[in-house]
Amino acid sequence: MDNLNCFFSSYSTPDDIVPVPDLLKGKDKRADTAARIAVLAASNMLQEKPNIDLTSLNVVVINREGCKSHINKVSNGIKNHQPAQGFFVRGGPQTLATYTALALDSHGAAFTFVGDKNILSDAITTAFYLANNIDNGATLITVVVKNHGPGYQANSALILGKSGHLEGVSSLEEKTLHNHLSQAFELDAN
Amino acid sequence: MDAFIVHPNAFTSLGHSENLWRNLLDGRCGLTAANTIFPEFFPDNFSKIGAISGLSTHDSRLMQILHRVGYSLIPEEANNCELILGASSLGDLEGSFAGDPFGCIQHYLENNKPTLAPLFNGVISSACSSGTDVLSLAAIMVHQQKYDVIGVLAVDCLDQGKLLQHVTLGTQAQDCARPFDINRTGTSFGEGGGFAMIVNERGLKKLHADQVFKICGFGMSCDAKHITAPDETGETPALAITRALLASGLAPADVGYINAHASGTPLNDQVESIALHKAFGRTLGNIAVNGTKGAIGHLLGATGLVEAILTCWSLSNQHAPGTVGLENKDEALNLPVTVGGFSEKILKPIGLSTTLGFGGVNSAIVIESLN
Repeated sequence: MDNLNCFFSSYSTPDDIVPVPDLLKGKDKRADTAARIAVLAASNMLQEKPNIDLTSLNVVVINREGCKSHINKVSNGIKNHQPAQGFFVRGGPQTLATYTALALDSHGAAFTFVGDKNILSDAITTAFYLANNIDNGATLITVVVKNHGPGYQANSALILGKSGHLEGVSSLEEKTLHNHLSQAFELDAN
Repeated sequence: MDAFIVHPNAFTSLGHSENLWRNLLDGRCGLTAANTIFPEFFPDNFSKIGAISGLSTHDSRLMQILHRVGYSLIPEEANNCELILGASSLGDLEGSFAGDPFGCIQHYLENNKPTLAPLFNGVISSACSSGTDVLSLAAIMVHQQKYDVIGVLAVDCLDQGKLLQHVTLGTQAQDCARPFDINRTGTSFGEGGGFAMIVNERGLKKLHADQVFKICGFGMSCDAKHITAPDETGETPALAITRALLASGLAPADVGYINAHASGTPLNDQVESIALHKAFGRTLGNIAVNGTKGAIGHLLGATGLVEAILTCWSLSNQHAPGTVGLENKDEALNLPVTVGGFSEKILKPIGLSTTLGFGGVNSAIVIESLN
């Protein structure tokens, strides 16, 4: 484990009433619930590993549902020719990553993998590559799922880039990371 | 990078395959007035959109587009793929697949491409950069030799609900997309898709492709400033371009062609031109620059892959089609952009494709034609 360059954290909520994260105060606060969970999970992760340079941080989120509740509101509104206010700030799964980047003032990559646990291994491969190849930065990777109850579960990992170790990802690192992130899917209600 | 593009193909309102390329080179426009596509929903809206003709407004548009894309673009060689990665922004906004392009693509493949269905793992979502990012992420995975052959499939649709949101937001043009034009008022949203196979050297040996394009490198950045408006300083879009060039080991002077995002919204084109000047400096004047949204529309989550494919075709044909819709250049932008009705010779085989998406996501990819 000495070579491990990853740090882990988990975050969960008992229900779907989620306050605006402190990190979004003074910024755009219109994040949908799933995006708020992603930001709160990031905040929780960074308490575990403070004092890292977030400027070039890459944000990778894995989620299957996106902002389903907001999409439903939009669909219903269309029937009456009503545009949905805030649609473009709440309407897409990418907002889970972009709100996190906004909250952290991070200028690395920011995108969401939409899929189930089958995409996890590929997401981890790209997360390691980005951590090691963009400005010697780091990657925050988070799985956000709606759990069996009314709440959410988010498992995160912070991958720090290894200077001079660009291509190698040890199987131990990958396996440990995979196990941690996949635990969130075990709680997935879908 | 050890990553190559083979069998790139795109489906748009202006056709697909060779037909699409000829139409672009001839300066044709595939846009149609919104009231002819959605007469009941938009009876008085004459602004032009890049809608695929002949689609029913009562069934899933994304599914209908997938059928066209699957039939026209996915070659027999796709059976060599070890992974299929999708890219889309939101897909349909109504019906059983509302906001669920993953579910829609999965359903399509299971029922129409059963050999590919088990290989489909997920969809990349980064708004209008999704199509560029799926290329870059596939390039990472073949470069790392996790896979040798990956199929990337980017699709998105413009249903009446999505157009309603854009009309309300003011991003849909009053008439049509006029990229980098002094009279530009917005973009022309559209729909369609692209498919390409991303391979490494080992994968290349398995396939016998006529044309091969190298992915030299890519760059991504996030503004982290505003959820819908771009960074007005152009700093972070420039960062994505600079990262792409750095990752490619190339200098700005090595680039012969830029397929710009060029949405035609007043702010996007201004920000993008600032970013290009920051990243390329004086060498920008020697590069052929164009945008294709005035011809085919803004294909939302598919736009990045489709425009990267058009970049491949432009490089292999050594010609940049004129920018349809551009009649009176906005001189304040000071860009060497090719106006509509003319094509421009590309002098170097290396091109850049850029996308700027909602959420402040910026992506750039550098491609070299090896043909």
